[in-house]
This record gives sequence, structure tokens and C-alpha cells, in this order.
Amino acid sequence: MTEADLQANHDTSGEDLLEMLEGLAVRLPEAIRERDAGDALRATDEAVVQAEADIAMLERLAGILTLAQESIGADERVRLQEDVLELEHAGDVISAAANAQTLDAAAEELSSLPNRVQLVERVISRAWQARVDGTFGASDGLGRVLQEIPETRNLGAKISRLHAEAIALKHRQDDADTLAEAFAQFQTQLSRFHAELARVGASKEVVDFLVAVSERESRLDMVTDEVRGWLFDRNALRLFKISL
Amino acid sequence: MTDLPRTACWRADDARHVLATEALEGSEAAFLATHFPITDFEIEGTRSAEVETCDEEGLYDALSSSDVRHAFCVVEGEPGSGKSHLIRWLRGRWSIEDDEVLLIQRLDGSLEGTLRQLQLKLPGLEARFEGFAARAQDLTATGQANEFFSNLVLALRHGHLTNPPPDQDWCEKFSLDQVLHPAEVMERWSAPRRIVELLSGRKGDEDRDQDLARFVLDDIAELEEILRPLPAPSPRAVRFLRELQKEAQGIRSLTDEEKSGSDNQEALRIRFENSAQLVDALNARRNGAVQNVLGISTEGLKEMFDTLRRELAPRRLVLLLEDITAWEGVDNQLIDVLVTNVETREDNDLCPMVSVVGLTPVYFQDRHFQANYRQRITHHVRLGHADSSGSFQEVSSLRTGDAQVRFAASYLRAIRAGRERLESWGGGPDPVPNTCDGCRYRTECHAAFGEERGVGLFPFNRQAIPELYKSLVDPTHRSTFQTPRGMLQGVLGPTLNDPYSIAAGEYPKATIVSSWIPEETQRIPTFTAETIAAKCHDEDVQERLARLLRFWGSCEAGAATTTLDDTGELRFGNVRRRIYDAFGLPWLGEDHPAHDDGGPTPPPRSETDARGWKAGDEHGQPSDDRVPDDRTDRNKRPNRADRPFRPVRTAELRRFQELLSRWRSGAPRQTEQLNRVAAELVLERLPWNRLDIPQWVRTRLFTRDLIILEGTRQARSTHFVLPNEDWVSRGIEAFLDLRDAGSALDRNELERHLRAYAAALLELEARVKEHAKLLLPALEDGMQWPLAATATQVLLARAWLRGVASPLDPPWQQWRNILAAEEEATSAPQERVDSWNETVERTRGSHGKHRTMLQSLVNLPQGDTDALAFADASIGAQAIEELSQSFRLSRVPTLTENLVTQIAELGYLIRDANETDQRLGKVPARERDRLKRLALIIDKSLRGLSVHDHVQRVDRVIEDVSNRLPNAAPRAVDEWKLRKAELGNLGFLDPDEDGPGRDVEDLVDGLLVSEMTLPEAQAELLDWLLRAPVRSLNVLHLALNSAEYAIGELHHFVATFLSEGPASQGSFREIQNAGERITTAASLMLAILRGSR
Repeated sequence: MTEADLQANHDTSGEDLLEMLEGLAVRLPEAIRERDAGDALRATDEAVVQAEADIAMLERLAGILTLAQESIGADERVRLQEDVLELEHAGDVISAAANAQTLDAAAEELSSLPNRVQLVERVISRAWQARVDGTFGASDGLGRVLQEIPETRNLGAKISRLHAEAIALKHRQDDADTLAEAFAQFQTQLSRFHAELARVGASKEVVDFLVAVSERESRLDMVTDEVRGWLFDRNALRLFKISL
Repeated sequence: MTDLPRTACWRADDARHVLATEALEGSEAAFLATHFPITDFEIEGTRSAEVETCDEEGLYDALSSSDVRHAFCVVEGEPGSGKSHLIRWLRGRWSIEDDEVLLIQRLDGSLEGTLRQLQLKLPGLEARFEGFAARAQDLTATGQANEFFSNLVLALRHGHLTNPPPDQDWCEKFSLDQVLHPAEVMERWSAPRRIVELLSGRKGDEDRDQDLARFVLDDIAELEEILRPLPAPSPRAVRFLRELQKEAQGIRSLTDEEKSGSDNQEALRIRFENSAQLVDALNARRNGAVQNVLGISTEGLKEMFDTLRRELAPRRLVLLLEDITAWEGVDNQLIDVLVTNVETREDNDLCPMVSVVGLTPVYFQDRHFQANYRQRITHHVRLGHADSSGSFQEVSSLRTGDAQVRFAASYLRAIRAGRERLESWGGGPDPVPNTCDGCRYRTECHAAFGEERGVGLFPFNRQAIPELYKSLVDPTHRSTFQTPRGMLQGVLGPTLNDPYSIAAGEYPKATIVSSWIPEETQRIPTFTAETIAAKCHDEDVQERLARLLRFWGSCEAGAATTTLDDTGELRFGNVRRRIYDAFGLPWLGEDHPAHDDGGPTPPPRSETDARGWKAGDEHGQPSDDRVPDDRTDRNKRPNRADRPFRPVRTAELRRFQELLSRWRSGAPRQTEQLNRVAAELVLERLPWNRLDIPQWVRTRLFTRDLIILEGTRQARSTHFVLPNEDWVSRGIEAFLDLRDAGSALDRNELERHLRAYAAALLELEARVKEHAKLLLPALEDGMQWPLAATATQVLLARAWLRGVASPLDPPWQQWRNILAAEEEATSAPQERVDSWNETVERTRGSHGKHRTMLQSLVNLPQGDTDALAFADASIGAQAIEELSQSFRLSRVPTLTENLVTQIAELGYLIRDANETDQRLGKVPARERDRLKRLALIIDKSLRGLSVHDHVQRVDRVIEDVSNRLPNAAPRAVDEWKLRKAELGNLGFLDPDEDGPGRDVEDLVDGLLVSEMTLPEAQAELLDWLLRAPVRSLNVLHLALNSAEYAIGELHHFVATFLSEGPASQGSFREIQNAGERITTAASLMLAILRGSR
């Protein structure tokens, strides 16, 4: 070090740098504490940003649950309830963050949020898919049967198209309200097609039989004279076979 | 009839097989059977301490130790001195299984051959050689030479090389690229072709023999001749070529001897400055030009080795390179690879490497090697020691006659055993087969010819082997042949390759004396020759007898007599009668001894007789088993009184008179003999002590070779020529007559001779003084230069600055210090002001020569020995006094190019004196000022505290901050911790009153606070400076410097940290909102699940 360098160490502000450093060192502990706290808040804030997608998913699932709850089995319902309770607790903890300690707890809950949301999502998605299948699953068979009969061929095609669109609801990522609206529309259309079927001479017995056939639940005792006659008139007896 | 072999007991093809001179040519068994342990070598280098014993096993242990991760071992020795032998032995001895050992032989000595060999031996890297060095194959020999030359010329051009050598400006100044450009130079200059031939192997190893493929002064002389009629490109080039022309004349007049020898090179550089610089410029560009011809990239070799080392890691690579000259062209790149120390690399990607490289002293002395690599040698094995002439190195392991006999015996045993028996022995644990064991002639043969550990020396004896060996001389004077290879090719080979000559009765025939034994060495004295001629008329037999006496016995006139040895056997010329019989030669002696008084011949007066022979037995009887004691021969000159009386018979005197008469008439004959006598007269009869010519000068300017009679040889300025005048011939005649027949002369003859002798001596005294005056440089005003005073002052200044003497010491003490061998410096010159250290460094390489010179100049010899006995202190006293008073050196002559080679060391003395004189007077004041500046800095740094307290204070705050903020200036903090630890180790932090910290505080106080008065006079000031605690001051200064730096860095860091405040705030509200959304969604789900919605 040259003499000039040494001078610089003494003269920058008219004080001795060593003395100045000693003075600054005294302030360090408090400054470091503040820095650490700021770091924790910033980190938690960043965790919230990262958790946004999970929270949004949770809100969507709550909407879907209204439509799908009937398809949840009893045991599954109990487990789902427990998982949701934990989520409710996590939400309470996170919403209570107001200081260093509660911040730590919130950060911890935020870190486990993705796993918890995933558990709930798995159950509700499965229930939703079961609901869609239960409502529109049989339409596919009925449509195909009706398309074999010349007089009902057009109707059969409509029912098959309805089935394809309705089944797609299982995997759509729309919000819960949109899904509920679409579900209701498809239900209405299906009822209208059933009424149209009655208009082409299909009595209730015939329709019940055809639906049962499409659902693979037809029995011999359902093949009444009226049903036989309706099928005979439309040269459709050869389309059915007996099976166990 | 004696029972001795009359035919050879070996076969010629076995001799050829075993005597294969290259260590790697013969078979493994032959190698092991003849292996002669290499011992007594010198070892230097940065890790030489690891070699516990200076022999091959010691070296192996040091290099092969498992903890050695890097070693660069250089084996230095003259060609044929056993470098290859040692390296091959290391290959065989290396028994560490995990090591990858590669041995690269010299083979044809060419770079191409060496690279091919490397290609074959590098596992898995063959592909890297594709295209490597392929370009040369497309060119003819002339094409290669032309391309090499063209590359060289281009490399001399400004702006051609991205990293030109430092002499680029010098080359440009004289337009050297244009000077060398004309087509005539390319066509006629032989040097480029010679170098390319050496590198390409076209010259063959026989011719190369470790020659360096470099430009030399002779090449410049040849170039100058070609350039002379050609136009020069610029006025400056004209001047340069004129200088070159002058120097070329001098170069052409040099003998081979003067051109060779590492000691002469610096003197030649001074004398032929321009030529030497041109040689340097060409050699500096040689590698690049060669690499262009061969198509080698400068990085190619390094990359290849790096790849190999990466693949081998973590195993160790052991690279044994027989001869570095075989790598010339890429040798710099190769050595760069070898010195790459895996321990100092940040990346731990290369495998450890131990390399052993053979090189010659000439290569080792190369300026580039010295400048770049010498400090990086970890083990420097020197197989030889500089011989008495200083030109070549004597091979350590063959220095004594006993060792030479042992060496020869191992080859005799192996050759007699023969190839088949050696192969079946195979180097196993059994002793090497010795056919002497079952030989029916054994007893008689060993008694007659001698034996070494049961191996008969037939057809040599203990005298012949060393006598032939020490007669070996390289006719070109470019190297020494007194090496293991010389022993095989010059001593053993000529006899053992021709076994038929013994049975044919032709031994010892003329061919046993190879061309390496000069004719004058073979000659025998006239008296002995006449004795032989008197007994035998067949000229062939006469010559055989002459050789027998010359090498197997003694051909001195005094020995040409019949003696009886202690076994009762007759000898003539010290050769046993049985040897004459065995060789079918006529007995020259009588049937009874010449001094047959019934008892043995009287013993010599001392254990070592006048010719340096050891006494043979308890009676001192001469014996064929005696060996010349070389050490005695070298170190002790026989007393004149002990020299054997050499009667010169009247016939011989008459012959000399005839020779002198012929010389006077201008038709000299037997000039060597004449010159020998003239030299004897000058050297031994002149009263040198009275001539005021110091011994150092005398032994250099007046040697046997330099004293000649006019017209007997081409005279150069260095020759002391006795003129073709009557006083010379009469003086020599008188000298011989008085010496050899003094008592037989009549009164008149005696008086006449005494007058002629005295007149000759008087004239010679004057001429000797004149000759010395002519050759020795004089002061500007023509006054005689007081050599001893200058040497004294240069050494004294060095001694002062190294702290081993003070200008205030008593003169006798200073005188003693400069004459004694140099001790370790105590003044820490490197830590002083630059000019202090520069003055010491300037004489680092030359002070030994100056000291030797001074010792010789002031020596007052006692008796006949030249050893330093009493020193003439009067010479030094005045020089010491003057220097102490003035701090200026006495005047010296101007440094010129005209200094003759023999006293070239005076050039160094003049140079050192000039440089010391320029600096010495300024050193004390500069160092004083430096200390004052340091004191000021230290005082400010301490801030009024003691060293101890200040260091504690600084350390406290640095520790505190660095513990809390580990990222704060970590390097500065680490540096401070190291410095603080150093202070602790040196005792600065001890609370003692007498520690170094206190010394520095006192010095600083004295210089700044108490306003200590420093001495004004330079001697007193230097004395004060030598005693000042400079080391402590420097250490503390560095530590405080480090502390201030760390403080500055930490202050900046902490201030920034505090000014920035905490990191940017996050938002609790955002977090709380997220929690509330989660709670809401979960509550809604629960309500649905519970059926409340």
C-alpha cells in the first residue's frame, strides 16, 4: 500500500475508516435481524404467488362438488371430508399471518398446499366423471340401435352426437358454473329425443325396452307383444339376439 | 612355457551384441549382466532433498514414492555418459503396478521418428496422430529445407508472428528478413538443410549423437560469405553486414576446442555480439518454422498429452524420455507439458506425472532453457563433474581407475559368457555366468593380466584399461569421449570385436588404438623406441611392442629396464614377461634384473610415487595391479625433486640440436617436440615470482599449448611465440645440455651454455611481460589495471550488501570474508530497495569466478602447490580502504571485444565493476529513504497503539464483521488472517518487551518521533541499515497493509449493507387473502358434503 492509499483510508470523510467500521459494526445485529424478517415475508409472498393456481383449483372444485357429490361413495366422502377439513385449517393459518412466527406457520402450510389440493381434486374429478357417465352413458347404445332402424335412423344419429358432446364434459377445464349449465342443456336435449321417439309410435313399453337394450339391461319379459309387433313392423327383429 | 591363453576366450558376434552402445539396443539380459550401478552423481533441483543417496536406487525411491504427484527430473550428462542407461534402468526398476510407464527412446534421433514412437506407445490415442507431422512426407529433403528457410525468413519479418520473440525490433532494425531473402541464400546456405536433416533423421543417429539442431556461429560465418557480394537492402543493413564480416573472420579462425565447451560460450557471445544475436534470432524462430514444415500445431502436442492424462487419471503417468534433442522442433512444447504441475492446477482433471528427461550440458546451458525451465526442475541429476579444463564433464561413476576396471570387467564377463548363456540366465537371481570359473588358464591368466572380482582382464591388464580410457579424445573437440560409451567404443570394442588378432599373433595390433586416441598420445620416447629397435627388427612387431609398453606398462625412458617383481617374475617396461609370451612378442629385457643385488627393487619414497601411481604392495614393488590414482594426479603436482631422472643420451641431444638447426633454417620437423621443450623452458625455468605476472594470468596466457616456436604452427594473438633467432635456439640447447648432461660438460662448454641460458632467460622475461601486457586490458591512460583491487572491491560491495561484512568491520575481517566461500546472506537483499538487490543479483553468477581469481591473484604459494596458503593482504587493504571511504570502485578498463578467450572472465569483472560502481553509492540513501517512508506508513497505521494492541483491535472488528456477514470481502479477510498468523508465528503478538514488534516500534519512534539522527557518512549509514530490523519492518508493513485493505473493503460492504436497509417488503395482506380464499372454498365443500347445501 502506498502512502496515498493509506491516506485514503483515513480521509474519505475526515474520519478514520477503522473507527467508522467499528461504529457500523455496532449497528449490524439489528440490521441483520430486520433483513432476515424482510427476507421471510418476501419468501412467503412469493410462495403465495406460486400457490395461486392451487387456490384457484380449489375454488373450482368447490363448484364441481355440487354437481358430483351424488357420485361419491360413503367411505370416499368421509376421507374427502377430512382432507377438506385440513385445507380449511390451512386456510385459517395462512389468513392469520401477521408476524414472524405466524409467517413461518403460513409458509409451512403454503408449502403443503399443492399435495392437499391434489388429494381433493382426485376424488372430486372422479365423482364428476361418474356423474357424466351415469347420465349420458346409455345414450350411445340407444343411438346406435335406433340408427339400425330406418324409421329412427336420424333420431339415432342425433342421440349419438349428443352422447359424444356430453361425455366430453368429464375432461373440460371450465369453471363450475359453465359445466353446470352445459350439463343441464345436455339433459334437456336427451329428454327431448326420448319424446321424439314416442312420437314415431314407440309406446312406453317399446322405449323402455330400447333403453334397456342400450343399457344392456333388457330382459325377455320386456319383449311384450307390443314390442315384438313394433319391431316386426319395422323389420327389426333380426337386429336383436338373446344373451345371458 | 607359461600356461596362458593364446587365443581369445570370446566370440566376435557376442562382443558386437553386448557392446551395442546404445543402452536400449542390446538385449535385456546383456543389459542386466553389464549393468554398472550409477553412483556419485550430483543432485540439485527444488526437491533434491528427497533423494537420500546419490545413486540410482536413491533416485528411484524419490521419484516412485506414492505421494509424488509431480516430478520433472532432468538427467544431465555428456553424450555417452550413461543417461540412457540410467533411464532404461529406471524403466526396468519401476515396479508400481498402477503407474503407466512410457519409455521413449532416441532411436534415429529424429523428431519424426520420436513422434512415430510416441504414436505407437500412446494407448488409444493413435487417431490423434493422423495428419500430425504428415505434411513433411510430401516434401523432398530440399523442399523441407527450403520451406524451413522460407518460414524462418518470414518469421523475421515485422508483423508476421502474433507473439514475436523480444528481439523483433532488432531484426526489423537491420531488415533481416530482406537480408536473408535473396534466392542465393536459400540455394547455398547449408545450415537449414543440416538442421532439417537432423530433425528428420536423414542424418542418422551415428552422425547426430545428440548434436543440437540449431544454428551456430559457424553458420553465420558461412552466411556472411554468401551475403558478401549481394546488395544490402538498407544503409543499416550495410552496417550490420560490415560488423558481421569482421566477426566472421574471427569465427573462422577459432579452433574446434575454442568453439566448444560451455565455459567458452559467454566469452564468444561477447566477442561476436552481432553474430551471436543473429544465431539467437534464428534459433528463437526455429521451432515455429519446423512445426510449419511438419504440419504440427503448437498446441497439438500439449492437447495430446492432456487428453492422455485425462484418460489416465487418477493413475500416474511415468514418462521416461531418453534424449530431449530428439524432440527438437517441439521441445519447448514438450517441456511445457512436463513442467505442468498437477498439484497447482485448479482443475483436478489431469493424472499425476513423473517425467525423467535426458539432456546434454550444452542443451542445459541453452539460454532459453535456463530462462524458462531451470527453476522448475524438481530433480536435477548431473552424471558428471566439470573436468579440470572446465570444458566437459567427467563421468562421476568412471572417475577412478578402479571404477574403469570394474566397468570393463562386467563387459568382459558378459561377452565371454556369450549371448545364449546370458539369455538363459535372463537376469535372474543367480550371479552373471563367469567363464573364468571353469577355465583351465584361470590361475596363470589372472596372475599375469589381473582380475576384478574373479573376472580376468585378459587381454587387457589393470594398467591398459585406464590408460587407454584416459587417452580418449574427441578429434572434433566437441565433446568428451571419456564416457561409458567411449570406454565401449574406444577401449573395449577395438580389441573385443577382433578376437582373431590374438590367435594370429597380431595383438596388440594398430586397430586397438582407435581414432579417438591422438597420435601424440600413442608415441613413446625415442630412447624406448631405440631400445625396441635394437632388440627387434620387424617393424610390425616393433609397433606392437611400443603399444604394449605404452598402454600395458610404462614407456618412460627410466622404465625401459629389467626389474623383478615380488612374485619373482621379470618385467620390462613394467610389463610382465608372461604377457610378452602370451601375445607372442619377443622379450625385451634381460634374464635377470638390472639392479640385481639379491633383494627387491627399492620402493618409491611415498605411498604415491612421482607419477601418481599407488604403491603395489607392502614393499612398494611396482605391480600390474596398480591403477593410476587420478585424484592424486589431479590435485598434486609432483615435487621437482621427486620427478624421475630422465637421462637424455648424447644421441638424443644431438637429435635436438638437429631439430633446432632445422627450425632455424626455416624447415622445422617434429614441431610438437620442439614446442614441448620451449614450453618447459618458459614455464619451469623463468623466475615467475619476479615477473609481477599474477599466477591467475600466467596459468591462462602461458600454457603448454600457447607457447610455440615461430613457424612451427599458425600463430594467433594468444600464442606466446619464441622468435626464430639465435638466442632462442642457443638457449634451448643450453637448457637441455645443462639439465641432462650438466655434470658431464667440460668447463668451456659449461660456461658457454650458462651464458646462452642466462641471456635467453633475460630476453624471455622481457617478452613474457610484454605479451601479458599486450593481452591484458589496461586502464584508459595506459596504466596497468590492478585486477586484484577491482576483484576485491566487487566482492566487498557484494559482501556488504549481503550483510556478511560491514564497512565498519576491521579491514582484516572484511578481507577474510571476501576470500572465504560465500555464506548465506543475512541482509535480506530481496527485501531492500530495488537497487540494493539488483547490485547483489548482478554478481550472483560471477562472484565465484571473481573469488577464485582473487584467491589466485593474492596467493603466496608455499612449496610447489598452487593451493591457497597465505594471501597477500597488502593488495586488498588499499582497495578495501578506498571503497569504504568513497563507495566508488577503482577505475577499470573499457570493456572491449578484443579480450582473448583465455581471460574472458575479465570481461565479467569489468562489467560487474562498472555496474556495482554505478549503483553502490546510491544504495544507502535510497534504502534509508525507503525505511523512512515505511516508518511513516506504519506509524499512521498503528494509530498511536502498540503493534500488539493495534493488531488485536483490527482483528476484533474484522472477525466481528466477517462472522456476521460472511460474504463481506472474503479474500481481503482471508489475506488478513494469513498475515496475522504470520505475525503470530514471528512473535509480534507476544506481549514480550523484546519481541520484533517492539523492535519496529522503537525504529519507527526513532525515525519519526525522537528524530533520531542517522549517520551521514555512507559507511556508517550502510552499517546502520544492515543492523536495522528490516525483515520485521517489511513483515509488519505487509500485515498492516493487508489490515488497511480489509478495513477499507469491509467498511464499504457494511456501509452499503446498512444503507440499503432490509430487503423489499412483502405484503401480509396478500398472504391473508390467500388464506381466506382457501378457507372459503374448503368451508363450501364441507357444507356440500355435510348436505347443508
